Amino acid sequence: MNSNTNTTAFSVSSLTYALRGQRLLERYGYTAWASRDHNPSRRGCGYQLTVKGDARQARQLLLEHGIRLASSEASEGGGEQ
Amino acid sequence: MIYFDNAATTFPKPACVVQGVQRALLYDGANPGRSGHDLSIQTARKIYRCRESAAALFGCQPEQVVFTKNCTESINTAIKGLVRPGDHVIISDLEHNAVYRVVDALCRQGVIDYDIAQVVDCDEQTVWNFEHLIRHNTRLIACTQGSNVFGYCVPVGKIGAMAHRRGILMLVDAAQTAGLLDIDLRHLPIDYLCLPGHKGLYGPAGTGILIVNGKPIPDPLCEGGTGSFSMEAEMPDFLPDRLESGTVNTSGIIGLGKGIDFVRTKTPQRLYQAEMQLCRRLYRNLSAIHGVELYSDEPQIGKNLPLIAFQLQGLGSEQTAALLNDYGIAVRAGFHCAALAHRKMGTHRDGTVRVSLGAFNTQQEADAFCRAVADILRRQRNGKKI
Repeated sequence: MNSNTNTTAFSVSSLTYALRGQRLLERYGYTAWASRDHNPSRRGCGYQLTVKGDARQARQLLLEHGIRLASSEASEGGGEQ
Repeated sequence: MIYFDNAATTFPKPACVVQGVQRALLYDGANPGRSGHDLSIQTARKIYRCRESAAALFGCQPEQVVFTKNCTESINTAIKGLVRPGDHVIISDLEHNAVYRVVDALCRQGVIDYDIAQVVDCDEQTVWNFEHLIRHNTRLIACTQGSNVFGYCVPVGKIGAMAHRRGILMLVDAAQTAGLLDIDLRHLPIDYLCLPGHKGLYGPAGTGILIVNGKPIPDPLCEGGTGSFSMEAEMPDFLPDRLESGTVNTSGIIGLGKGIDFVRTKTPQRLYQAEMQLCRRLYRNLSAIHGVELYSDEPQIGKNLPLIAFQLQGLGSEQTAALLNDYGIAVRAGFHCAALAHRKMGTHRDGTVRVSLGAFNTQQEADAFCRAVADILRRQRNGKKI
């Protein structure tokens, strides 16, 4: 379990990838959740995967498992995005 | 009623499927993958759960699981989305019209050319029959894994291995085999696996799956909203969105997920063994009745599916099915949407009667069926009005 309480939201290409990413990160002890991306890119509607903890490691895990990420945005102190 | 028409659609459905659909209609009513409110995300999780279950059963990743409305749509999506003008396609002589009519229509439109390979008893000869039809422009082999009329299994693994050695894409129509035969895409050389949701996976009608297990991703058959990259004119280039435009059949897919869970709990191996055991009993009892002409082989594990094609002496297939219906027995007669298979077996004039088993059939039902057949033939011989 990761004790880092920072949250990072990764923009993902689809809700399917967000949910797959959530499952993956949960298997590795992260708290993660899929939600609507309220700041969509110019490409249009999208979803995001928010994770609590080490964002760099989480990102690497996601990429290693073929989760397509668009971008990531971090916030500190455990606040949700 | 004795329901022996499971190759058309399985019935009854497991209680968990009925409950799953009911719960979906009552509680998961939002559009999945479109909005951000809790109910939409909750519904999307249930849809994703079905992708996960299908992926676990067939050995792929959840996003490779594309939901369609049936196996026919899966086949159409794959074939029409893959072939290019001037391509050549090979199919088997046991294909359902879901494959045959698609390639024939593309051929009549001048898009592709196609050939039909003969399936025979010897697997190596069958593979050779496909291989010797390969041309420089052969792009795709599209082949059923099991005949919906006669129950013969086709060695799609061996055909796929040959296809891959020759750089050809392999599509498998698993309409009759999904949920019964072991299909592990991590080991089988299959690029596109087409599945019905409502047969051996025990989901509701109106559900199907296309698993894209190779490159390229077929072009979409249907474009529209996907809930992703909405400001772009082109369809997304990733799965499943590229091939899933428009609102999906939410309650059907949630029910399908429960059906797949049912199959995974029972295991395809055990379901197949049990149905084949019952089918062998039925076959032996039928073969002992004078006047029954059997068109299927005695059921053998790995060689056949749990279905039997037959005719009754002096009666047409449709007449036989109607008489059995009077006994409360549901079977399918005629040509089973499989012109090629009936031509191959010489049953293209009268068709056949098909008995196809499912997870809920019993020995008592099999024995009652044989008694009804014997009774029909006895009345026929005695000249009684039947």
